[in-house]
Amino acid sequence: MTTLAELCLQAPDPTHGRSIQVAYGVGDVRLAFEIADISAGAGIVWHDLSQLFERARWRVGAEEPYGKAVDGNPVVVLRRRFTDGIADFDALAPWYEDTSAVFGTHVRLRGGLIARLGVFRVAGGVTDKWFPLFTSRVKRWGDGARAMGNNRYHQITCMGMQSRLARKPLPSRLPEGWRPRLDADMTSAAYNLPIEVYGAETQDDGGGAVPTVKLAARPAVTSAIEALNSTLAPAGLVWRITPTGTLLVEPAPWTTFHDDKFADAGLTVTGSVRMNPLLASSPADASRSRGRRPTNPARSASTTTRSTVTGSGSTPTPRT
Amino acid sequence: MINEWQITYPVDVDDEEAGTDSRNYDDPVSADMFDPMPLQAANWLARNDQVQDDTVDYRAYADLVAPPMLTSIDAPGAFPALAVLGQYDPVTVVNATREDRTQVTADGIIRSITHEIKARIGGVSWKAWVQPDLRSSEQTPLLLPVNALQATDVREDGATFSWTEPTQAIAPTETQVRMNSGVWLPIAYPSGGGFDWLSGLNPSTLHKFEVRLVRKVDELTTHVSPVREVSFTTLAPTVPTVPPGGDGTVVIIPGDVAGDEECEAEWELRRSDDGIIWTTVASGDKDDFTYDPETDIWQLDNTGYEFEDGYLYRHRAREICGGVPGDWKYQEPDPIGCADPAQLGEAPYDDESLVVFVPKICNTQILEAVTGAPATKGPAFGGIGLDAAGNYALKSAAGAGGIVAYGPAGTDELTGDASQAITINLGEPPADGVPMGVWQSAGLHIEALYESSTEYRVRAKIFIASGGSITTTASDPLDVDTEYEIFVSHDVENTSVSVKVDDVEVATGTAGARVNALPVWIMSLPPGSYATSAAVWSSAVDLPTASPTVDGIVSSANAELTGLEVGDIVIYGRNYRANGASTPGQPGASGTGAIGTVTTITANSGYDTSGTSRGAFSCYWATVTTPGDISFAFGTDRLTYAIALRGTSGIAQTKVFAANGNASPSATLDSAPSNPVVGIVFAGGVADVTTPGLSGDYDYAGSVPWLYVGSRRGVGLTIGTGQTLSATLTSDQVLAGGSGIVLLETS
Repeated sequence: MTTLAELCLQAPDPTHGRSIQVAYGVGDVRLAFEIADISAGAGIVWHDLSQLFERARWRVGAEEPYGKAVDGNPVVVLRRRFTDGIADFDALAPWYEDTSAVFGTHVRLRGGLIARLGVFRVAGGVTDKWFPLFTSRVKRWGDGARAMGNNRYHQITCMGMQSRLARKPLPSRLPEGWRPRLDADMTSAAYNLPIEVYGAETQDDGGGAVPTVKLAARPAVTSAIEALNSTLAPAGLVWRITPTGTLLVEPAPWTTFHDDKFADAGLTVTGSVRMNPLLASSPADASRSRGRRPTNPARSASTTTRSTVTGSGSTPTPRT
Repeated sequence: MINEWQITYPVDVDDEEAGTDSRNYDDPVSADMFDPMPLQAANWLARNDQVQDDTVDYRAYADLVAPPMLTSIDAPGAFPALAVLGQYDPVTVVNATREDRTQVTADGIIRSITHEIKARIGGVSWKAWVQPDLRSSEQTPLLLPVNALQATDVREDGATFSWTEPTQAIAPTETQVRMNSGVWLPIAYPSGGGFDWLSGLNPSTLHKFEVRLVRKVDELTTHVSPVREVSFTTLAPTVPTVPPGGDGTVVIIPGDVAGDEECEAEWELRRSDDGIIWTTVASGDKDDFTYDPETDIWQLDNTGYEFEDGYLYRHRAREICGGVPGDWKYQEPDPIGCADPAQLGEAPYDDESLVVFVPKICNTQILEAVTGAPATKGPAFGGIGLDAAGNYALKSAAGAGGIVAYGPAGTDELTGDASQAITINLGEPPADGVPMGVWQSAGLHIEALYESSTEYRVRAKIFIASGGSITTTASDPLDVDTEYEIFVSHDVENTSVSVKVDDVEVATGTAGARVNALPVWIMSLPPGSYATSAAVWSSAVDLPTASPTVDGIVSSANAELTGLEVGDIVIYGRNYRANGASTPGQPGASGTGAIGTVTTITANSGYDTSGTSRGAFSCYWATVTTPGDISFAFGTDRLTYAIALRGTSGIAQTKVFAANGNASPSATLDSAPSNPVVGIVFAGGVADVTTPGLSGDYDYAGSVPWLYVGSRRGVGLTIGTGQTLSATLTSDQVLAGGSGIVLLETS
């Protein structure tokens, strides 16, 4: 039995994908476009369509400076050729009644399918590196207008996984910390994709654990997205969907609220530390190195160890 | 904007139990202006204060946003970064819109990325547009390139170049040039607006010359200007020439000596084992030349001849019109073959720490022997020759001093113990006041310094880690037209540097670890010079002592020995009958030093002799009892000689081969002696004695191979315990009453 969350975190099968002739250590770097049929229930698997992959375009990130992530709207185009070996030229048409010749079982090609794109490396017959690019829901499965001739194109329009949070009404909440509210809202929204949460949740300076940020009471809302924004922004947190379809909640890079909590030796903090990856460089141009300013002696003298942080115990993980 | 940061890192990456430590860095000025803007605390795998500081410095006054940037999968480093970049990831943008504008470096975070992947045959096309939000920027002036680079005087084997140097916002410290090579050659800045590359290039060939400016601080490159290049084709050859890439068995014959319908032509292939005496080994006429009308080139193919390693070869050709031969046109001497240098089988060149050895000659190509990496002929390259021992040597052109050859070497990280050696014979001293680095690599240079028109000194120059360079003391004056083996050893732990000439320490210095050097070797020589056995070791190796230490073999009206120490053995005498006396007598000793009891070395002492008389020269030895200098005076009409030996206890046996009146005195050591032997060969009678007729494994020793007084000639030599000698004086080298050979076996 495979849940949807497990499916999203499953690396591509080493037999899937197509080689893209990229040199990256040993092994074969491959590009995989795969779909999964939610209606298959517990038997859900990834079906490989990489050999038919023609092109894709999508976006990650925000529209405005320091903004919230928006839906990347991936668009994927598949190309069928007469010479591809799939006997029926209509086999990937959204109206086709039996696609088992392609997938081994009939998969109805329509909105609601899960689609993902990623590159991975196969070494020694196993997938040892995986760089997921996006995991989305299929919004529309098209049939090429240029169906005449040797090529037939299918344009697949997708929408991000945050669409699974849209139009999800949520009940009212009493005053509480940001983390209990986040968990309760996701449960109410029946959100069944992976979730990763980082941030200082509670703090205890000897008088008992209290939320680091206590939110006011909230009336019922019509959208889980609206609820996420209203819950996380006051706590100095941002959220987005990672390429594996994971809902990632982390401290905003322009604030230090949560890090300060973890760094405060007088507090016992629950929660998980999220670290942005860093690009370390050694400038060849020495003229870029300006005179060193004196380090704040008070801060330099302090020594902080991670033993001051107690919490969920989750190990910081690299960004997926 | 970020103006403070806290980094946590392991105290010991190999010991998790050692815990962690943290370090803070902030910009108090920015914090005062904009309030504290800390970046969230972070964990690093290792401490790196510089990067931490820079990260804050570059962001402390941020207010900029850059437009989207485009990268693609074929850009260096684009994969897998294309696949892993995400929103909020840090980004640095470096941009210069024009060479004469400043470079802007900005830092920020990624706002969004748009990907586009298209299937292509055999792979994909992958583009990504990155939209950053920038929070800080810094402007840096750049070095401008040279202007108006052009080849002004193109010749058969070289060219001169000129350029102008622009006004710079920051000052370059050196100019770098290269010719058909990946290795840059440093020259001075300002360069004077030009450079002469007057030899070493193949004729009728397209060449590319490049120039750039470099700024270095404490020997580290901080700025590099854009490169300017000029391509040119050298003129057609006027002498037989090896075509580009050829091995020397086929040569291009100049059209004016190839003959025609009216004129005959002849050619010869000649061989030499010393670069002086040439023997014709093959010859022919114009029927042997082949003509290619497309290239208008005459060629002579001698691939059928069996060339041998260890010799120099050259072709010569001339026209014969109306039965009158014209002048010979000579090819530059070249070796044929590709054998490893013989020195690599000898100590100390067989030491496993040897990292550079120059030259290995592979046909007409110069290689660095340890790695086999090809070298580049420098602007002063004057051909390939042979040293006194018959090893291939690199020559400087007769009219051009400077860099003879250079090439890549993995010596940039060699900052610990190291040694260097080079055998040189300088045709003239370096320019007055301009020390010449005859051998440079690993931050360690062997320099030659002008002393007089016929003398120079040597020393070592060390580029040290604390910045700048230091030099050792300089040697006593060395003579031009004389071969010396220079050896430098740097013991970093003991901070000592030793300079030896022919295995005698002549200068010392004090230096700690060296700074990382350019990963190249460079050989430079004054005009008319040659050098060989140039080596670098990654340890403080020492030269073997196969022969007794010879402080000096000198001769003059007053044979002078300097720097004598107690216990040194002094051998001295003369080679001419004094005023009709039956024996030449003993020269008088004077000076600050003193010798003890004098022993007369009698002829025929334990060895065979030959010849009819041994009365033409005398020989004595004694032990130095008072250190200092001693002269042995015995008039101006005779060859007075003196030798000092160190490290030996005395003279065990003598072997005197007299020659007074003997037409052809000769001597042969039938077997290698058990102790080192020192010898004197006297000759004379002709004005230009150049070859004493010696063969075997003997070494010329001391700083004066030939001793001159008037028409008398002598040569000092040493014979190691594994070496042999056969010596013969030809009749024209015999001077009545004063020619012969003396060999003394030490104990």
